[in-house]
Amino acid sequence: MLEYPVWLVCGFLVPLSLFPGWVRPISWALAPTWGMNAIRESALGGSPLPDIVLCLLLGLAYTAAGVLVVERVLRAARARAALSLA
Amino acid sequence: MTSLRVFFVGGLISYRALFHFLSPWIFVPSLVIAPIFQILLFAYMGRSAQLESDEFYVVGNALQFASIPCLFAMTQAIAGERFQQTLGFILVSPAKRLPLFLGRAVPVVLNGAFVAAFSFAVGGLLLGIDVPSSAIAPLALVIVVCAFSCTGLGLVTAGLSLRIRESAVLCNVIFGLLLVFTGANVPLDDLPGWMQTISEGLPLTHGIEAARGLVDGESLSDVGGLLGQEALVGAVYVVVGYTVLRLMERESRVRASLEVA
Repeated sequence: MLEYPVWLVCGFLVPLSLFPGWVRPISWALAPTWGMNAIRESALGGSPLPDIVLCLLLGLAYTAAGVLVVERVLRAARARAALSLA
Repeated sequence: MTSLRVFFVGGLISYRALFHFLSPWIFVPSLVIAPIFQILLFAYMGRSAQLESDEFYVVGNALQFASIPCLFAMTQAIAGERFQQTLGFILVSPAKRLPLFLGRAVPVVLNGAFVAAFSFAVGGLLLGIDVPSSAIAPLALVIVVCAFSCTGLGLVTAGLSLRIRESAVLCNVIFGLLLVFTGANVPLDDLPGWMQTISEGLPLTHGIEAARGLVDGESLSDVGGLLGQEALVGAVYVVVGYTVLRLMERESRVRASLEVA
């Protein structure tokens, strides 16, 4: 379900300039946007380093958020004995 | 009377059973949000590359996305029962197979039609597509016929799911093929000859063309031939799907593989 929105607003296939201004902050908050920028910079002979760093930082932030969510859900599932329930 | 009950009540209960393992909180958004973003993605790609109009992508993708419920729900209605080991109880019953299997297709057709209609309405509103009011009723008919033909293909994958393990992967592959071959995003005339030949035998191809004609102002009689072809393709898939189901049922009895995952 989240594939198409990410493909749409991360600049993979469509230039971000086509979208209204309010879409930009959403793009900036997604790591693939910076990864895509880095690839473009590399291909065009520019410096991809700043984009790679931002991509890594966002990736780390998402990983940390993911770990927190998993821990919280696991704890809740144990407390409710709902781990094996569909 | 028993067959009618198996057809309607059995079909409805089977569809309801899908929600035993599928949360509505995931199922419903995946059918109403994903198609909108599919429409937007391809429409913006079209704008960016200056290819087809927004209308082209709204119609194509709204109808093509009906294949998600039609393929997956139809397949899961059979494969899900196999997975939960309830299919054996059904197949040892004396219930006639035709109402048993086809009854499970009715809620799927309605689900597919709803997804296509909702996607078309919301996608059209977001991108500003003008639809003549006279085209709305014929469009509804085209959507139902498309959902029917695609569910026919779903019956085939449902039959295959009695033998193969990864039916969801198979449905995903077919979804991708329909995205390319039905003319949802690429005009059929731009496809190579061999691809056009395959397109002729796939569900949705003629329905999408008919829907585009209606949105462009053609009447139902103008697109009647395309609609008939779509219905015929669907009927052929229903017959093939039912045959595959019966064959696989017999094979699974012989090999005792019905409940082997």
